[in-house]
Amino acid sequence: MSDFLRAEFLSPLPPPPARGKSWREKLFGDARATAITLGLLVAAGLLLPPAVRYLFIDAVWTAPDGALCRAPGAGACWAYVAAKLPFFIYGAYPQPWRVNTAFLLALVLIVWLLRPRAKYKNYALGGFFIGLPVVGFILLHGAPALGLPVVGTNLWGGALVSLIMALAGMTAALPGGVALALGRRSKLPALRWLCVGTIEFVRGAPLIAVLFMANVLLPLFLPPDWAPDRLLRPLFGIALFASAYMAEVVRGGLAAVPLGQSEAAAALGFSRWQGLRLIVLPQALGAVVPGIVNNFVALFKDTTLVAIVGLFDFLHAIETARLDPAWAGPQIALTGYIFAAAFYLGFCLAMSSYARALEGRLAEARR
Amino acid sequence: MNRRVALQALLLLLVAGVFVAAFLNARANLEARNMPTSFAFLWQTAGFGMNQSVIPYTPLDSYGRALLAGALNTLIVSVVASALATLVGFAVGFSRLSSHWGLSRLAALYVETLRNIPLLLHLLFWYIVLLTPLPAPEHSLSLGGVLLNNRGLYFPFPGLGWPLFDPARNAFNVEGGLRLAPEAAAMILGLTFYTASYIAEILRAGVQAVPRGQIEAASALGLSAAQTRRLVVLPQALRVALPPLISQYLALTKNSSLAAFIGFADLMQVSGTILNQTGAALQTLGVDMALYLGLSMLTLALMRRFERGSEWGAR
Amino acid sequence: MVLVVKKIVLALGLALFLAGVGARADTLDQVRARGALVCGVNIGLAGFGLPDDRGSWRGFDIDYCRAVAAAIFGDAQKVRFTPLSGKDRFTALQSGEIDILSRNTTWTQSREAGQGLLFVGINYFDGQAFLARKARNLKSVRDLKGASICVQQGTTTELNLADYFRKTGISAETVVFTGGDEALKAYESGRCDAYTTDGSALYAQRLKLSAPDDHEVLAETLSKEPFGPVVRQGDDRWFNLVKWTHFALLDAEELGVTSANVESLRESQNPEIRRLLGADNDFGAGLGLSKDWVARIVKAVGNYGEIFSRNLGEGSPLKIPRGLNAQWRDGGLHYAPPVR
Repeated sequence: MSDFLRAEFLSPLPPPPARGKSWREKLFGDARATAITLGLLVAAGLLLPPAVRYLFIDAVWTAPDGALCRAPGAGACWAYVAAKLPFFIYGAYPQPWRVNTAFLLALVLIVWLLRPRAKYKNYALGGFFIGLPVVGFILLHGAPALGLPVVGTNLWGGALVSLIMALAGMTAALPGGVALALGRRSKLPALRWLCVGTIEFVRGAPLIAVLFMANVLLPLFLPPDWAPDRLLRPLFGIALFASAYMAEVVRGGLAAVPLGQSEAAAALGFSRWQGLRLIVLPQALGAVVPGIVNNFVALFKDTTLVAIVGLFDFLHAIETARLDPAWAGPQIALTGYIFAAAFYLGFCLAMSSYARALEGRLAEARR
Repeated sequence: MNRRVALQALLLLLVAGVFVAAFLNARANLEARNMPTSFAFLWQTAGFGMNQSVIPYTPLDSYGRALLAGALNTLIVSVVASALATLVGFAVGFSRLSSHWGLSRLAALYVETLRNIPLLLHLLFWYIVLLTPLPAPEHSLSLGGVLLNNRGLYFPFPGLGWPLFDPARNAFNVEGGLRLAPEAAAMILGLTFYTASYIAEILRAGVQAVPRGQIEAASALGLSAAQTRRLVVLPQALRVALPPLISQYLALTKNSSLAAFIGFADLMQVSGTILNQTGAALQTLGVDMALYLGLSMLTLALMRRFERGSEWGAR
Repeated sequence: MVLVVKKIVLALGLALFLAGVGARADTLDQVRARGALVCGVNIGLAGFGLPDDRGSWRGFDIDYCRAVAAAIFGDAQKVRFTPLSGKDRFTALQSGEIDILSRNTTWTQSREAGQGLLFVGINYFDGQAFLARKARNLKSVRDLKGASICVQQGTTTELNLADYFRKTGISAETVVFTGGDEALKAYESGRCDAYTTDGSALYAQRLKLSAPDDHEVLAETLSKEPFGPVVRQGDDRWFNLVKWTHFALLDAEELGVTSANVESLRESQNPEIRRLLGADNDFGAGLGLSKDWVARIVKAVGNYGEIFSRNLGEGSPLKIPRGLNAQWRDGGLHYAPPVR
């Protein structure tokens, strides 16, 4: 009747192997596997040698200017990356030590926060969300009273701008996202609809549109003499955008906390606010740390879009440096793009592998 | 109860206050800067050119028509890239699930690398990769009436005639035929390969969500591996994968707004030009937001109906 | 009587108050007291204003600032430069943060009538122009019929372009980019046959190409973009001083007074040169300057022709031809009133 049913029995399969397959069996176990393996080997043989030649053997490692890189047959022009590295990192910022200090501080705080068993995390939290913005602003923008001359944001550029955008976005997105997510669960319809409206409006829009709005509309809605700084406006847009996406992640976390938890907290005499702060939120946020980190990865990649409002982020700095007549040549663009790809890949992979490790630990803890 | 009402009233009052303040400021600022406050500009002559449009458009047309042409460009690129991204994404996703070690590692490498590189970099990369090796129009590559050069790919098309480079008529460009400009091609390629890395993961998660017992049961019933995949695994996996897949398509549509960086005339790029020329910032961005939000709401509503109506949703 | 005294005191107080609040005090006195001129300049445009490797500012607009400093202090180094973006430039001048705006700014009616600014004159005649490959051998913009043209998204460049093609009845493909650099790169890669923006910027951008000599700027322009130094309204003495510094530079070129021969020409018998260099009568006092103010300027920065040649013309990498910026006797538009 149905062609799903067999008329006769199949011969029994061999028993499963005692241990896992050997690599030989994995790659050449049957005809299909062998064909795939051979195909992959041929492809690798065709693609890898030119890539290695381009990236390493034919690459120009040191050169005073672009003449060597322009020679026919030259590979990647790493000398250009080396020569332009300060511009890629600081833009036109005059005193690199101030940038370095600020980022060292951020790095220390982040490592402190990310280490699972580190002590005094409350201080690190305070440092990250309050101390870092204040100190970072004083260091980077300057405070004449402290002997730090003011550096206008028109001189900021490169990785400095990318990282500021990403860090500020993260610092704003977490509290912003929690607030929006809590508002979305509120029993007050007015508050709930306000939060739902904000979240859905921002999530429905492309980041470019949000940046345009922050850049063009924000000054319109503010009194004429308030005109926010050109770095501040996109920062506001990014913070809003990241908060809306973060709110959805946090909402998932809040939904995962059993109702019994807040009921138990109430039974123990916690006020609603105490129960939320001490019982529900820690569990909710803990459950979605991987989601939060993945959000940060997306945010970091999205910082490349601030070029649309005229900021010199890392990628835009590379795009601009490409036009230096001393270096201009056929290999410069590709070299710059490979370097940029490595930069973003490095940061994002570090973040997402942290998220994955944490995911493993959480799964283990739940078991 | 009274406290709740009071709280909400206070909140609404606060929001209304912010809105009124913003409105008053905007009115004063618009007046001070001589910016238009109505939608009348939509019927004024645009005056700028656009290199690709599916509807007839010349600089003599109105700003409204320019916006429409931009929106259609966004829509077409998004639909084409979504379809291609699904194809590539499924291929990568199945490779990732392959029992072959090399193939699955290669697919994993694809996913991990491509989705950790910003989309903008993908687009810039494809744009120079397309432009650099291709010849100038006078040295176009030609195959069966199809011409390829660094200005685009030209197909013969009924009504548009055969593409031809004739220095006597136009010393610079191929004329006639249907044209795919390098900007559009770079958009499609960049969006496809970037989004495919997400779709591959969605497919993998969907397939892995199918209980092992289902596969074992299928094989106990005597289904071959291919039959199991087609008749048992894929239908169940797609049911899980459909919502994230749809939100990927929406993300792709929103991501197509990066077009301005490589000179493709999408909705946001056209809006940027209009905004610069007319100063009608509020109105232009309002139209953009309405279009993007409308599209996502429409898609989500359709999806919800589809879920409710189809057997896929009933689980 | 008491009332009158009260009124006078009130008026005086009000005047002082206004002077203090509005920073509308006499600009020349402020500059003298400060010991330096504060000049608003471009963040970086080759030939007009750009810091060199050692951080010292160079360029056409920079030399105009130095000329004013030389006229006041006899020392062209007594200038502080404030780099300003296109958006900030007018606010900085209006608020008194800078004394002069010397930053390739186009003179338009609305900027003087609506924004409280005064242009002292035109020191550079610019216009939207085209960069194209020399091998194309284009004679005029009309030859770009059917071509692909790369353009940066901007307030007027796209519009001028479309207007021109509409006026002449020919069509061309425009490819619009958010940034000028992106547009230039697309042009260089062969995507476009021409790239268009303001002529002054075009010469600087041409140098960013890997083979600048293969490309030329077409002589024809699409728009009028007259650049000039800008001061605040409400200080006529300062306006006159900057304006006459500009005229002095032009007069010096017209009379052949250069930084090399200015010392020896003090003994010249030519009455026009004697008046310009203050050999007999004092023409500086009316401006609040010394008798030899023009000699100081020319000694420090040279005449207009020298400034042009050093920063933009033959003596610079940009090699911009004088064109409209030549003296009226050579077929250009520069025609300065005499010092007399």
